[in-house]
Amino acid sequence: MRRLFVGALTIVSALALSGCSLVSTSSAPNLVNPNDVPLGLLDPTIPFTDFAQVHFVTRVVYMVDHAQQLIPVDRLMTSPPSLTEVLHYVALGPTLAEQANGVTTQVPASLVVNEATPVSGLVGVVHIDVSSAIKQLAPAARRMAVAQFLFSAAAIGASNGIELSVNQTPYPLLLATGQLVTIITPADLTYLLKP
Amino acid sequence: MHRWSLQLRLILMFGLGTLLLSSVLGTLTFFGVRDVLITQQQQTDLQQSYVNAALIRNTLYSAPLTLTNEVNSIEQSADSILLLNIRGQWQTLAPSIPFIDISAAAMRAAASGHVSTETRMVQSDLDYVVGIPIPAVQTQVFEVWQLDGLEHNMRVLIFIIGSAALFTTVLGVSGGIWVSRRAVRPLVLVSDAAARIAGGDFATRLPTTHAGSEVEQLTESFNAMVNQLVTKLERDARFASDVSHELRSPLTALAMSASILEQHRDELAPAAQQSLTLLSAEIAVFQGLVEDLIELSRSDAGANSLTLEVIPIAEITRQAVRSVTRRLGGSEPPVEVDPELEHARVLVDRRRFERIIANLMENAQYYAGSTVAVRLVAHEGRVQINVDDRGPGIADAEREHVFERFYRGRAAHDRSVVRGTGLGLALVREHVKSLEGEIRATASPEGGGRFQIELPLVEFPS
Repeated sequence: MRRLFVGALTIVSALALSGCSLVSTSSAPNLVNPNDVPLGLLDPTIPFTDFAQVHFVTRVVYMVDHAQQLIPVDRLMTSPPSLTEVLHYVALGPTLAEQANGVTTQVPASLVVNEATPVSGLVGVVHIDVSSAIKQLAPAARRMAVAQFLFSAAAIGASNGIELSVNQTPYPLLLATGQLVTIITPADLTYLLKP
Repeated sequence: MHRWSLQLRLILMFGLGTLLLSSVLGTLTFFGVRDVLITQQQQTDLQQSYVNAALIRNTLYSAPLTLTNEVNSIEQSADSILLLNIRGQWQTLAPSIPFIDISAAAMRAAASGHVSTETRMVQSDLDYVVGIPIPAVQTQVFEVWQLDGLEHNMRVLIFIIGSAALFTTVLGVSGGIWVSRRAVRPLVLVSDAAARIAGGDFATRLPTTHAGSEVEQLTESFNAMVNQLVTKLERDARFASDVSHELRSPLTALAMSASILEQHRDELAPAAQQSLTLLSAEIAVFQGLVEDLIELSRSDAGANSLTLEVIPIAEITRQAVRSVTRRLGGSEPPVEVDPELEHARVLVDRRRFERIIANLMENAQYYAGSTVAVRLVAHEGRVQINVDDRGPGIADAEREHVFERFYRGRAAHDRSVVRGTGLGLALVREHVKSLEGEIRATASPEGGGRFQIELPLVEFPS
């Protein structure tokens, strides 16, 4: 009788204990046999391509620091990075870690880079077409946003300036001097860079 | 050591047995189902992670700028969290993604080109993490799946199995109650019948049942045993009665002869006179013994008819005490009556009641000097008749035995006392029982012995 009672108690206790950890956790990750991995995920090249691979490089784009000056920050981009990709990262703004360090942007979150192409006949100058969100900025903020695009493009070769348009309509920039310019050069906005 | 009843032990055995059985089955079921559910869930998640990793690879190859949208789309449709590590840098793709720590072992596995899976508990959340390296795009994809749903299913499963085990146990206990009742009922019947027979009801027999051959055999054996016992008792009683009757006539002749000799005592030599005195005393004792034996035999045979009357208890007690005192000589003991009992009535046989009082007072006369008082006390709707003496009292060990036939207590061995028949108190008990009363030997408040008779009252004036 006593043995029966002890046996029943043991079973009930075991059940109660097993209920505490219904799904057992792993003490270490389980490795999957590479032969069992489908879709060629472990292949060194991308399947069904001409041995294609994607490499990444680090490039700088420009953001705004807490003193309202332009600073360079690193971005990982597919190699070789295109101008569109660089401007895309400018439009994305600072990362969470950068935001935590006081880094901001003057480019509106709703701004879309429609196009970025070299200007024919002008070496080192690119044409950037953006959405109309840039028009809603105050003149100083607009100059800062344009400077972010300008110096980020200069970092990958467009060293002679940019030509800006909004939805394919030329959009000259009013400089702090009161001068209205169609092609904005780095010299026009150098004063915004952090020394 | 305390022993549980047979019925309780049977019920407990059934209950614990079913609990044990249902627990074992429930445990096996639980672990079996759990393994199937976990394996299926993790296999599904792993396969989906492969597909998602391939989508990310294709996106990085064909449209890297849409990676954020692609990852968001995957997360929404798969209900998982994706983390990308590109060339050792964690990519924060959306601000809403909480920081999730991937274990160092999982990162080492991915760095060495191995797909790994890991089930882990982070705070109170159960996660299943799949780490997939994609060398073609220099990226490691970690997909975190929440297993809380699985955990919930496990709890539901536990609840269902536990409820089933509980229900089965209740059924087992119910079965145990049913079986134990059937098994124990014959024993209870035997026990009750034995108790009734021990109480003097020799007409008691076990009813014949169809509860199984063993029980039928027990019933037959028990009834046969009781029949044998009753036959033997009746034979013994008849023998005692016959012997007593046979002895009565010669004893009467002896008594008459002794009486005639008594009339001529003065003509006898002194030695003959002494012998005559001894002879007369012994004949008197012998006659008393025979009379008592005959009365007991009648009582045993149920041949003593009762002539019941409703009589005031105080009145009949006083009459009996006066009558006995007159016969025994000496001073009459006081009869103390509770005022409330002065007009209370009892249903008794007058002759037997007087015999009860007479035997108790004689007993007090023989072994305790005399009766101190006869006291009538009301007690819970009954009357207690206490016959108290001035003797040394009755030892605790003897109080139950003094009512046995021919029992000789400590006082009876005193040669100075008059020898009784040894049947007086046995007769008292028989008479009290026939009047539906009880008798016990206790101690009187004065320090002597007390015989306490308790009789039911039929009329108790308020």
